[in-house]
Amino acid sequence: MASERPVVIETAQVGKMFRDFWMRKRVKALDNINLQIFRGEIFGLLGPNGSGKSTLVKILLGLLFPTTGRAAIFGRDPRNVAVKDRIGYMPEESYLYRYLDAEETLNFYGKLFNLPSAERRHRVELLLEMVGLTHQRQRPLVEYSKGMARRIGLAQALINDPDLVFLDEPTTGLDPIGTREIKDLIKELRNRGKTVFLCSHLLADVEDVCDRVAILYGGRVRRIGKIRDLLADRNATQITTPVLKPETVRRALAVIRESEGTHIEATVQPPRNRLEQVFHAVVEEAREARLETAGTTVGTGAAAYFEGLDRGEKADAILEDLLKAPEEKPEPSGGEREEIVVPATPKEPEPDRAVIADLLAPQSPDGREGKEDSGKEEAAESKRDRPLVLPADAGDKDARDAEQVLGDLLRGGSYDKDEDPDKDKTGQG
Amino acid sequence: MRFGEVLNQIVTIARHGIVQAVRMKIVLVVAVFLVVLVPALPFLLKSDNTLDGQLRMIITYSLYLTSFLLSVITLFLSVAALNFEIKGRQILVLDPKPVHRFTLLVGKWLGIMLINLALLIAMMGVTYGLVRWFGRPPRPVKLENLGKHLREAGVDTEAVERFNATQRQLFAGAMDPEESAAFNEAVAEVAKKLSEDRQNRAVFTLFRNAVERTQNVAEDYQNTKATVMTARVARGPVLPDVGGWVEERIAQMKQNDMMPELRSEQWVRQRLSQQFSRAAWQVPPGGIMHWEIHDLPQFKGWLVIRFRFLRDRGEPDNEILVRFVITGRDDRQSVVRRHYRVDMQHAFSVPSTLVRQDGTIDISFENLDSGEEPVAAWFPAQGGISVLFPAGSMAENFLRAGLVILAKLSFIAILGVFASTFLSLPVGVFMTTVVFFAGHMRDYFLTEILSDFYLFGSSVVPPGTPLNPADEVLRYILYYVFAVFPNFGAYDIVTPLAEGHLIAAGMLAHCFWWFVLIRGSILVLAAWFIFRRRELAALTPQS
Repeated sequence: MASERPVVIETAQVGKMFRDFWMRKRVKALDNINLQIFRGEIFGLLGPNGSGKSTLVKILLGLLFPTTGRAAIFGRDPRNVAVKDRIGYMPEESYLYRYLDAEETLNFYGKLFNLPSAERRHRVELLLEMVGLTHQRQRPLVEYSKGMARRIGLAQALINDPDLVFLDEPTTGLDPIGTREIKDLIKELRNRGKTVFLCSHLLADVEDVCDRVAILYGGRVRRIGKIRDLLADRNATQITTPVLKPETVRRALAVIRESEGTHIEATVQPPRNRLEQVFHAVVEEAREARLETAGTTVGTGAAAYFEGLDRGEKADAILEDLLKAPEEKPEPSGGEREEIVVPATPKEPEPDRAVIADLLAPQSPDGREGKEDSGKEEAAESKRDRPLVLPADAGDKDARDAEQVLGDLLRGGSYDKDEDPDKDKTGQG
Repeated sequence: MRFGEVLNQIVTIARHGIVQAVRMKIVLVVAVFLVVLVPALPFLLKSDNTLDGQLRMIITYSLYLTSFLLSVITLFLSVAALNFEIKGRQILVLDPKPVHRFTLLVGKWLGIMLINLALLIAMMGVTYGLVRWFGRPPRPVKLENLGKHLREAGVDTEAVERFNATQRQLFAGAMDPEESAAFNEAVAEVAKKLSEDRQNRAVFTLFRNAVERTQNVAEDYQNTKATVMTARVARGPVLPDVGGWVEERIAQMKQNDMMPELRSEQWVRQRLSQQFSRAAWQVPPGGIMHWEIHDLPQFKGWLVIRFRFLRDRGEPDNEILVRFVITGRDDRQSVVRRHYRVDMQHAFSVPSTLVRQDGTIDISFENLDSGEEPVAAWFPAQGGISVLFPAGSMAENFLRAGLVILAKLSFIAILGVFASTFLSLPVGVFMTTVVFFAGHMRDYFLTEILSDFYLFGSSVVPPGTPLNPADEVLRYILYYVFAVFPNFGAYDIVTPLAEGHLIAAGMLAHCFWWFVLIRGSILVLAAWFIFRRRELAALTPQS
């Protein structure tokens, strides 16, 4: 499906060797990177520190030059100005001018894109609202907290309504509200046909929003593929149902044992809400109660920003051109696309369980199923509970606890009220 | 990308550079320093108690200070502009924007130049204002009591009123020859009346003192206006073909086998050239030298004859009695006969009405030295004798001076931006500082240091001894190494401005041509070549 869409980012055998002052080889940061990223895709780049993520992003932005191979964006050299006109970049830290305020910062970058004055002002207003800094617009950035600076860094990346957005650790330093807003924004960008290149250490964030990910290690792509394929655990089965009576559970387990054998280890537990959900609920309550805060206000969100852009489109014919769906947007002027030689798409290898476990275990120990692409479905799924897990080899503590519960259940016992923190919420006894 | 869009980006980057400099308080500190120091200069420094001396001091110190401080700021800002962005990593956000790196460099340069322009206009304005204020016309001498005495002495009221009126006119006007003549006529009329009666001797003395005071003040003011608060052009006599004489003499010496064996031909040539130049305008005791000056304009005012002569022997500070006769239209003459000190610059004024229709005047100089050992006077080829006439206003001269300073600053800014494309801030500042000072010392090095430079041969040899070939080669190399540096000293605007000489349009054009168009363009291209290949996110810091 993805291969039918136009390629936005393409790298062919890209390598990068850092040399010292005497041109001696010091660090091999990238080695033979071959990527194809398609329009409308959220692509995640993962890897431990020093794996070459930032180097690759900087090559794609024209800030570094590949030692070997070639990189192309929209079919052209990343350093081409026409290409840069369609790109937004939020670096891993907010490298902004500390003596400017938020409004001046956005205006400065807006002018570099040669946005007409009225349109620029309109976008600045919308972006400030979107990132919740309307009331802090005239404070110099030197007075901003890290989270506020990240927000303005995000706003500047979107000032040109880019077709391709590079987000380098976008949620670092943000509170959970900001994190959720960024995730919403990323999904909204995809819904509008934009391409997002996400570079993050926060694996949960990547997992929540990305369509495909590549895992870099030692400057090479070790794994690449769709999130659901990479995360699928084919050695376990999860059944999700509404709340069941204990009797129903016992009978279900009896059926399972009867069918699969008595040796099978099964875990039955009530669903848990994620802490993120609880946090957002508390903040929502506080907001409804109109409690004062000295920090950022809650942004209007990506949807409101894009709605604002759409309203601007109706009012302004120039904007109409800028915000056309990407397939209608002409390729950069200057004639033919630059040729780039890319080898046939390599067959996606089987996931290396060791590497993925190493990378993902601390953040997502639950081994959930992959998610659907749609943002709505994802949101629904995040609220969905995990009622029954039947691990193949439950060797850790959680598995032993689960075994204990299962044993209690099979012996006709019930949950201990004091030991079950979810009881009140689930209403299960 | 269209030109208008690129221009818009350049202006945006330039404006941002100004905001950066202002908010980082660099410019503010220097501006306050200049604004406080320059107006304070006339009160802090002592002059020679003459009006023109005071004005020259204001011009000299203010412009040197302004030029030097602006050069230093430019040097720092131009290297820092890009380095701050790279060190602070703002460049990582700026470079992915659709801005050519060349546009970025030009924008940075323009921002610095706009700051320079604002500061330069302010400081030139302050200096010009100070000169105009100190050089304002003096007040007429108060003559109420004198008028009463004159009337009591029998001078009729009309003559007294005429005297007062011409005196006021003398101060209010440009003090040109016509007003001076009218004043002199009024003075003569009153003096004639007073001289009729010997009883009026006391009143006559009072009157004479008042007239002398008036004339002194008027002369001082006229002198200041004619020498400082103006923009004059000099015309001099054509020097005889000394080169031809030298070649002729060398040929004769070679023919007669008279060339010295231990002297280089270059040395012999130099010596002969010096001797012939000196002999060209040498006037023995009792002798007369005639010069014809061409290309003088017809105008209303004064011509200034400026000269400096030396004597062939004896004490240099002696005075010689000389007579100048300036002959012009209708064979009218202006004669100056007096003692002048040797080896000093002197000047006197003659009416411009002397200039003939064809723009010429004749100057004859007679050496009247009749002491026990009379000496010959000789005029050097450079600055020996010249005729100055106003060719522009002081304001115009200030404007030209400002443009020359701006051209120099423009080059320094380009140099700094160039350095910042591949050097860190301290190294870049060091490099540009070296170039800046080497450029100022270039001429001194090429003329003074290099001529005494011995590395392989001995310096303890008779003058004119041929150089060791290795030293010859070394001098040749060093000459061209230093010749690469921009010659800042060649475009000195402070001296001409203080002396009231018009800064020639040719010098202005030459300055822009060499500093901005030629050297500047080469540096800009080099900067662009380097910067477009620079990896802005390189892990290894540039050094």
